[in-house]
Amino acid sequence: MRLGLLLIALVVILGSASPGAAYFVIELEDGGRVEANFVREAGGKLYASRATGEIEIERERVRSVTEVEPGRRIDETPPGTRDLGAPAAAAPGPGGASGSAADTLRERERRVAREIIIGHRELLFAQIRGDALAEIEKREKELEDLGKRRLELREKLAPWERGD
Amino acid sequence: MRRTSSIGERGATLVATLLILSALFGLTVAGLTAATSSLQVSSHYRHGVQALLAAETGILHSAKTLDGIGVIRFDNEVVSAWSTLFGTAERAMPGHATITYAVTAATDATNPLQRMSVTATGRAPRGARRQVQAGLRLDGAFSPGAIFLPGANVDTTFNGNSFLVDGMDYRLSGGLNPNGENRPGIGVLDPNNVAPVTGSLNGTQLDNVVGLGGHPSVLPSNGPSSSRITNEIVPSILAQPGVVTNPTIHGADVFGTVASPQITHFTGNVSIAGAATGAGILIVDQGLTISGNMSFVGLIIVRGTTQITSVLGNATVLGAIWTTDLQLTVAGSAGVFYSSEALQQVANLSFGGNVLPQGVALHSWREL
Repeated sequence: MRLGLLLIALVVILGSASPGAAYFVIELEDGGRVEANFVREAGGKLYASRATGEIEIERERVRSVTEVEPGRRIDETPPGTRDLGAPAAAAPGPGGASGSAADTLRERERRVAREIIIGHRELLFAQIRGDALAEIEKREKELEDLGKRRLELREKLAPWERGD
Repeated sequence: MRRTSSIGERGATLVATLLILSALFGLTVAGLTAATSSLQVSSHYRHGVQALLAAETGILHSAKTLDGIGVIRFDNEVVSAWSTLFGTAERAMPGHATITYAVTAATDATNPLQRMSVTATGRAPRGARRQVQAGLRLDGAFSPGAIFLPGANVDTTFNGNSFLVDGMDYRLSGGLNPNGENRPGIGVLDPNNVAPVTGSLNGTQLDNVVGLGGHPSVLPSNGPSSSRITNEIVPSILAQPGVVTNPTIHGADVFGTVASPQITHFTGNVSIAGAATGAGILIVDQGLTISGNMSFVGLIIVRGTTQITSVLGNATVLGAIWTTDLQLTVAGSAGVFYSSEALQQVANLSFGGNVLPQGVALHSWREL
């Protein structure tokens, strides 16, 4: 009986964990790569929080910060890029601390739009540098996928925009 | 027994006393003279230092003045116009009417376009006078903001959230320029225009304009006036060889490349609805409307209104935009990113190095 309760408790604990919580991949200028649960910026440095602690990275070393959506593996995700100057989260909507569904969609659409802007900037840099064609095409594909994500979000937002 | 003194010794005490008093008097005078001299030396030293500091102030003041407005060439723009640009009259140090400086200018014999010298004479009480001579050089093209609005009255409209105006100084190859100077996202020449521009941004748009000073990065910023842009800078640019005037817009247009920049001039309104890329300097005499896909590296000067109204496309500018008015109604995406490297290497050096206003830096310093 006691063992059964313990097993049930373990299942509840493990099940209530959030394995699909978003995390971040930080790509460095020198080709390095850091994965983190949380990323923040302060004083010209990036701080990446991991289970083992926090890592401090000079901003100049960072090439891109990619947020991976919950439930997706990093190698499957068409990564958008989040610039260190990413927009601050919008204030919660009138629906309370979690915001209304429309506010959440608008905020996501806004963030994707910002990723697109930064992505185009990085693409321009890559073209100026003369990066390999494969790299250019990869960036263009990422932008294309971001564009599709944005369109999907806009379609979901459409009923609210129309006032339905 | 009464002792009698000899006749020869009579009065000796008086003489000795007088001698001693004379010596003491001399010592006193010497001491007072020494003290007075020390005070005078100290005073002269102090006034000399004041004069030197005043002269150095004159050097820095003149250099800062030139750096703020930007200089294309020193000889005919600065040295010839020194009397109106800065003047040779004596100026008093703030709060010290008796400490003054005056500055004169001279061309550099070997490089009159890109170098000059200034000589500052500092004066202080008691006739103190010191002179300092400094060499100035051009220090690279700049823009007072990623977007610069030099007009007296500006009209700005921002719709949607799909735009980013960034005054941080980026390298051509990407990343922030560690040797660069960050600028406002939107720089305005007239400080009275800060409020109208900021007021045209709603709460969710404030972090779409970033750069010097945080967000919204809308700041007064020293730079060329509208009349100077129209009457001096643009004519100077258009006088360069190889200007392409009113090219036909096909839909897949190329207005120069980073490897081969181009000066492109549209004499009327221009609308870019398709795809376009460019590098160098783009001058539009009236209005510019971008509704398609466009990327540009360098400087865009629009004497009318710049409208970016991309519905699905993207507009990316690396360098700067100087415009009279600005309307961003972006459903697609638009980004303007400041880059002094783009301005200097692509838009300035590519055309001889003396077409865009540059900052001014000191390169030598000596006391005369």
